[in-house]
Amino acid sequence: MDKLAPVMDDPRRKDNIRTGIILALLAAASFFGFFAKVYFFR
Amino acid sequence: MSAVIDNHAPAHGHDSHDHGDHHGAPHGLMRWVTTTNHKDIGTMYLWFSFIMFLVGGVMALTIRAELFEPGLQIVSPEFFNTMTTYHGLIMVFGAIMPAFVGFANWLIPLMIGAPDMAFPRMNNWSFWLLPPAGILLMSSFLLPGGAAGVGWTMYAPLTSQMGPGMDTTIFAVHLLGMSSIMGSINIITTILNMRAPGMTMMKMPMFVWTWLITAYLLIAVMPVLAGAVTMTLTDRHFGTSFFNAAGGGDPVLYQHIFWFFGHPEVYIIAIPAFGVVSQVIPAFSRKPLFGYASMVYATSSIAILSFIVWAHHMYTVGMPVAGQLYFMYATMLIAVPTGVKVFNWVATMWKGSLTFETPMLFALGFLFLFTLGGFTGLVLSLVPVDVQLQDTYYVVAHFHYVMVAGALFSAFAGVYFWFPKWTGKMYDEKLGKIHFWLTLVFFNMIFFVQHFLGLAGMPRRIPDYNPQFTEFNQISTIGAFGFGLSQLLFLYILLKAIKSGKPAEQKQWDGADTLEWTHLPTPMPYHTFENPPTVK
Ligand SMILES: [Cu+2]
Repeated sequence: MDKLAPVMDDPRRKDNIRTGIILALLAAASFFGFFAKVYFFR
Repeated sequence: MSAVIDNHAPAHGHDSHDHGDHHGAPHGLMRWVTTTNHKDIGTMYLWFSFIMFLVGGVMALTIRAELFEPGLQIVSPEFFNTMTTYHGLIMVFGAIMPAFVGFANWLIPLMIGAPDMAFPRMNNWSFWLLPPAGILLMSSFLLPGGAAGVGWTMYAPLTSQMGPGMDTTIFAVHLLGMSSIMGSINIITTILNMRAPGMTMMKMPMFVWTWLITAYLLIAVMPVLAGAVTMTLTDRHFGTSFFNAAGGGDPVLYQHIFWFFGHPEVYIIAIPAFGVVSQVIPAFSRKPLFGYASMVYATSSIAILSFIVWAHHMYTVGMPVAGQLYFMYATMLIAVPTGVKVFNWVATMWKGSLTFETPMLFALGFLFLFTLGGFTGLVLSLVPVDVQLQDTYYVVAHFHYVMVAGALFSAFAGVYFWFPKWTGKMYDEKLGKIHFWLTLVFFNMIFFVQHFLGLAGMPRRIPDYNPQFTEFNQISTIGAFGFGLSQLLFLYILLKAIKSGKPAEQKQWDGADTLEWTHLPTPMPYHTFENPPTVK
């Protein structure tokens, strides 16, 4: 296997992880939010 | 035409500090299974999408073969329904979307001067969810009761009456959705955090902007689709009644949820296509994109408006007149930013020194035919007209102008445009042009006549029809087989170029001005921009 792309030890790695987690939470909020909306306020 | 080939470009990039590639790409199958390289993953997305394009295409040909004559000849009505369903699902989720994610993987890091995508291992996972999803989708055909003939929109209550093929389809949609969401997280993070010094947001190539906007759309609406099919699943197996009227649910609710996803989905497909065209047209006009800032704002407006128009797909479900009026006017509003974009593309060509190589031909085909598809969309947005045309072939013609002449033509433009950069080989320009003209003519043969069929009242999603529709259906079917065969020519052009294409120049198109053309040699090293370039 090739060496991992050089972004893994990039100084911006921490920022990337933070941004990624925020976006994943947005996606989760969209999923569960819609589910809850339909379930409780139909 | 050869004016575009810049013979004076240096054979190797003038970016001499960018040589982190000491050992090149690894070899063998494991290279592709374990790769974290954005170029490899982009290549896999593009090939996967092409294979799915052929699979979905065979289904389309089955549909057209059955419709060559009135009456039932080739397949049963039930199987016909599964063909329309899986043709739609495979083309939307398996062919068009992965094609543009492939472009995103290849081009975004290169265009913003990043060493790779922000999350290379997640990128590998995003891709490798697709083949299992494709297999799961196709396995529906082998299950008792066959695949689910519910239409690609998977409307309740039909979905609650299907066999286990419905469940595999739902799980496949889950996997495809996860892949898209992870891909979007990767794309947004890369664009926000990994730009080279000096690459401000408003200096990014238009393609990068379109993908930033698209990725936000995906994160907002893919979970909604996942929610809708999950509710379908729990209705089927776990005793809930979200969409089951007998249990107090509402089948129309499904349509609202689906189209809250479904309308933005149209733009998830169209906006990256706009991005490709926004790179190709300036390159062959030898002028910068006209109205760059207005292009960014127009694209964002389209994305925002796409959230508030969904019920134009549902005028006939029995909504109040006030609702119909609202959704009609909101939908018509989208024509304004779309008009800005079309104006800008035309203005980019105005007084440019134009040449018409294959990528430009496909971009112009896109411009004409996508605009036509936009106009028929405007026609369909009118409630009184739509009540007549709902579920007719007019709708089929409309969205194929958007999806095929829009998205697919743009993808062809992009492949021909970047192929020399990606592979280091030049394709056969003459064959490329033949591919374009065959595709253009056969496309219109298939779908232009379907406008007339729809206006005359032929309903969609039926295997049989009234004999008065025969002639137009036969033209359409002949066009479909011509179109399918023309795509084998495309495959031949690609394979021939990979095997024995002439070496490409660093800057194959002299109007191309993004970083991958100006800063990187052709062929590119395996890793690029390990030391970021400085953008002035
Ligand atoms: Cu719509």
